[in-house]
Amino acid sequence: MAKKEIGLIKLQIPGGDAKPAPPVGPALGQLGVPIMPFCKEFNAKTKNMVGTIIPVVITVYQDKSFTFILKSPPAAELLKKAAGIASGSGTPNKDKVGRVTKAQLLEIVKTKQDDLNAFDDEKAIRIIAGTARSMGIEVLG
Amino acid sequence: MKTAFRQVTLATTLEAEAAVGELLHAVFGIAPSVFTHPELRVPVVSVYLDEKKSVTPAQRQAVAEGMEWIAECGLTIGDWKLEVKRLRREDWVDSWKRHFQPIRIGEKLLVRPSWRKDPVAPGQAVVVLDPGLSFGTGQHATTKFCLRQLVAQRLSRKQSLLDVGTGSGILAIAGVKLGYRPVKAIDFDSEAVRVARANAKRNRVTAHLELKLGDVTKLSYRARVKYDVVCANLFYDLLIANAHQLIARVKPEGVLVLAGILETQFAEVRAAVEGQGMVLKKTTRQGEWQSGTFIHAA
Repeated sequence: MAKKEIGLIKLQIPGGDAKPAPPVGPALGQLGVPIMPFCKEFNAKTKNMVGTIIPVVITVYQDKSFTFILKSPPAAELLKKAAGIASGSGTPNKDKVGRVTKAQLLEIVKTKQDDLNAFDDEKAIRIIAGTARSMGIEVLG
Repeated sequence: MKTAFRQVTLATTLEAEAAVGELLHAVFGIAPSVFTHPELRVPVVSVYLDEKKSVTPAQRQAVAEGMEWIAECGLTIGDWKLEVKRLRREDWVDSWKRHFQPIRIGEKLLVRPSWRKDPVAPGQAVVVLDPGLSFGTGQHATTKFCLRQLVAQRLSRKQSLLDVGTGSGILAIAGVKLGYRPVKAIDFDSEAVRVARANAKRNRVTAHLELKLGDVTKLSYRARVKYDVVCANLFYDLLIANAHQLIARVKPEGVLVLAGILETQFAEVRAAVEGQGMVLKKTTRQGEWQSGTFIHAA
């Protein structure tokens, strides 16, 4: 049946640990999504990923039903991992906290290809490089 | 668990979404969530703060500087504004349930979620169905039309039912509860078949319901078994492309119930079905949807 989408919600939830608290509760509750059934389904699908933050994209339909897909780790997380840092810079315009190479950048683009809001590789690279710089991570090369 | 929160939001562009999310994460120390309207395509990045915490001037300043920096990094950030709104106290465990009300189809059928204990009229069939993944609970206009038709077409004699694209199994289960025998339901999605089987078990109709993985596009042109009522709540293009296979499964005195069609698409579906020897008996518009019941032409 052709159902009308009313919104896309992106959340980052620890695997196996979706709860009706923020951000899940208010983010889904405002659109009338059945929160507990979502938590149950998410937790069942991610029970083997406890301890990992999992991005999930939830499509909400007009009749309040939903579907969701699990995504690869957020670009920011991949950048931090590549740069070997725990968090981005609090003052990224002044203090640089890490570096990534062009090759690492391309690897992240490859991982995130399907999730990025980009139609071509050049734009995808620009988005990841811009995200890196905005976190205080220098892009080498 | 009734707790109030402050929702801090910042609308930005699709390309800056990840960077803005990371900025809010860094400033507030909370993982962000993003809502994107399918047509506007303006992501709204949010973090939820405890009610007792408010956004400090230092945090506002950090966000402003961060946004400026994101723009300097080559990402288009759009016209942004940091907004804070208080979310009322709500019980997130149960509050969503208010969106799922029981559906009454006259005195004959009641579809209700498990947490509702509505009074049942004498002789009324009851289907218990809770919301879950994508599959309908009867809240959608097209499903309601099919439910009404199942009630309207039910005669005192024995009648069989085929439900094509069963989803949650709602129509097939309602069919059994209304007395259709036998009832067969198919769906091309194995997850839907799993959910429908669980719903059938919960409603204690498994003895009378054959639920199978099946694809409308793979149905044969000739049908060995024909049904009194064939229900297909699908996409309009599937209905057009497979009209022949659906009609082939309708008994000479039977009916074909078609739904999942936008009002703007209905004429095309009608032409496809009427071009193969059926006539429109009833049609209903609800919102942007139009559904129809067809019978064989005399």
